[in-house]
Amino acid sequence: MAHLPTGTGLRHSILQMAPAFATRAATLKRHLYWSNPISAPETLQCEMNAVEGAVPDRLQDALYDSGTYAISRDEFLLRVPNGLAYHYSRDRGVTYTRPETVTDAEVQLFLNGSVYGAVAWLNGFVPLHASAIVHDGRAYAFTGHSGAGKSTLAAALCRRGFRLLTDDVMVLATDGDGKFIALPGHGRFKLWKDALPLTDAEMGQRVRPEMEKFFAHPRTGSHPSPIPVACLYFLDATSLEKARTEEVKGSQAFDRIATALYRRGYHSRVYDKVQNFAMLKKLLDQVPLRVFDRPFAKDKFEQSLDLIEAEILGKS
Amino acid sequence: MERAEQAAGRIDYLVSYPKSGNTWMRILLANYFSEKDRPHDINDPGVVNRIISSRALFDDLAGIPSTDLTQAEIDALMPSVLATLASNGTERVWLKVHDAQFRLPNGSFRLPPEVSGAAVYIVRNPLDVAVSLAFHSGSSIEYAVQRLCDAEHSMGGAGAVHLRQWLGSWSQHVESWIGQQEIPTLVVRYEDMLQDAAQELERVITFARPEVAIDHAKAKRAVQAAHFDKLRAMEDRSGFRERDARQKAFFRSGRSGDWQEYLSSEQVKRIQDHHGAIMRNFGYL
Repeated sequence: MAHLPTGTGLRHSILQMAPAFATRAATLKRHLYWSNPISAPETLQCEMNAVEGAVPDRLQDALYDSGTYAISRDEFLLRVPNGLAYHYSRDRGVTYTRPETVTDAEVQLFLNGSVYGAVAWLNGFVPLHASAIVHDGRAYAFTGHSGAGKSTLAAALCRRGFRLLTDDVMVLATDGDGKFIALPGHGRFKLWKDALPLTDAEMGQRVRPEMEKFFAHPRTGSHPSPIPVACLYFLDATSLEKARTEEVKGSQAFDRIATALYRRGYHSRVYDKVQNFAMLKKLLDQVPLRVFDRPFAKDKFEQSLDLIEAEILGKS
Repeated sequence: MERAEQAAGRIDYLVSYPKSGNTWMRILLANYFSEKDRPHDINDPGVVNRIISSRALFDDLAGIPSTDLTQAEIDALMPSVLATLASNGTERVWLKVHDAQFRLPNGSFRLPPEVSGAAVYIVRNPLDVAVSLAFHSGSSIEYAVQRLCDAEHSMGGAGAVHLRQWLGSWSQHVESWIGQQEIPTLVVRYEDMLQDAAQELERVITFARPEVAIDHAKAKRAVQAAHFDKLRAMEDRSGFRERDARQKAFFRSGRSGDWQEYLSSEQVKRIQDHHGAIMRNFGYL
């Protein structure tokens, strides 16, 4: 596995590169979760360094332990049923352990999913359950529960020439002006085999030996740097014949945006109600929300794609 | 009236084979417990506002996305996911269920009795279920008949919107719930709901919420608000989230006896041969 240096050395060099951030980060370091999200994509990269090693059975100061995951203010533990387990500790990065049968792809799968989301929350970022593509230097993101079609839609838009920003988890940081910016993800999709023909993504490794689901790479490449979010679309599938989009407003927007957080279970353990409200409010103030309601039937897929493509290109 | 007095846990289930009246009972309950004056909107959450096969529910509680887990792993985690749900908050929770109840390889029930309260099982004549299922899923009647007789039948799973719901054949489904003692279960016949919906609604509330003093006027109002024509009008006006993408309208006929118009005598015989014993139990033969 890719293995970046961890510990104070790299952190120190990043802090030197950004002295203003360094001061703020030092002040807030132990209490990031109390503050509004702070920026620095490097922080997240740094904290996501993963090495194989011993993983504790439980967390000392767990705020919550569901059996599959445990979370404290500085640590996260994930136990996958196949024996793969991860431990994240702030400033120390991620350690994982696995039975011999677990593949590298499986290690990446949960590392870049659940662990990534938890590490983001614990460092003051806001991870959303969304896949996003790029147009004109801004992110167009699609959120919905697992299985709602986020990855397939983003991959199909990449077939039409857009570049991928991120698949499945879109982490928001804040720039120097306190504005949300979306960070680039891992440069690939996770797609079910039957969704691959709807895209022209290049099929990679199977995500797990027992599953018909693959890592897949967009032929248009992926966008490398943080960008503002132009729109967050909620994927619905209630429309029968024709796709449509609509602005989400008022109390509906509040209910909807809460569903877009990557694991409400994680953040609700480390954010109290006041912080949660402030974070959601900030999201609502800054990120335009729309519903993209389209028929789920495959024969209507291209037609729905036409609509969303036209809207992104500003032609509708 | 029956009461689920030995109820131990906090999760109650509204269970049925698909197309057997689950949604109707759910809307009746939503109206009964509604604090608003106007009829409950079919697209708003009611007291039974979540389905056990919801990926969002599973993913939030497990903290691991179901789409990255194998079927065996999802099943194995389900008892702890439900235990987590039961331990969150203090209110009792209703879940809609189409899954058959079954035991996992380790011998424990997939829906664990320790965290469960009461189950209400709605049963409907499988001949009518076949017709309704065909219209609902946009399939042929023949395919629907085959599904009812298929011991391996399941819905969802893999890349689908819902988690896999294992149903088995219609008889297996009914037996999996009424044949178990661990979760107190009340059986409601769809045909009895058609006869006297208020009475059946009151039975359900008495059983699952014995602490609630029954208000007959409220039950009557709930039945009026959930009248088939009203539900269909509401769907015409604003659609219904739970309609299958292949289906023209969710609320189609609601009648009993439609099978006489749609099923061939061979199809009727096949269903009766497969499910005769259970059908006799419920007065369908």
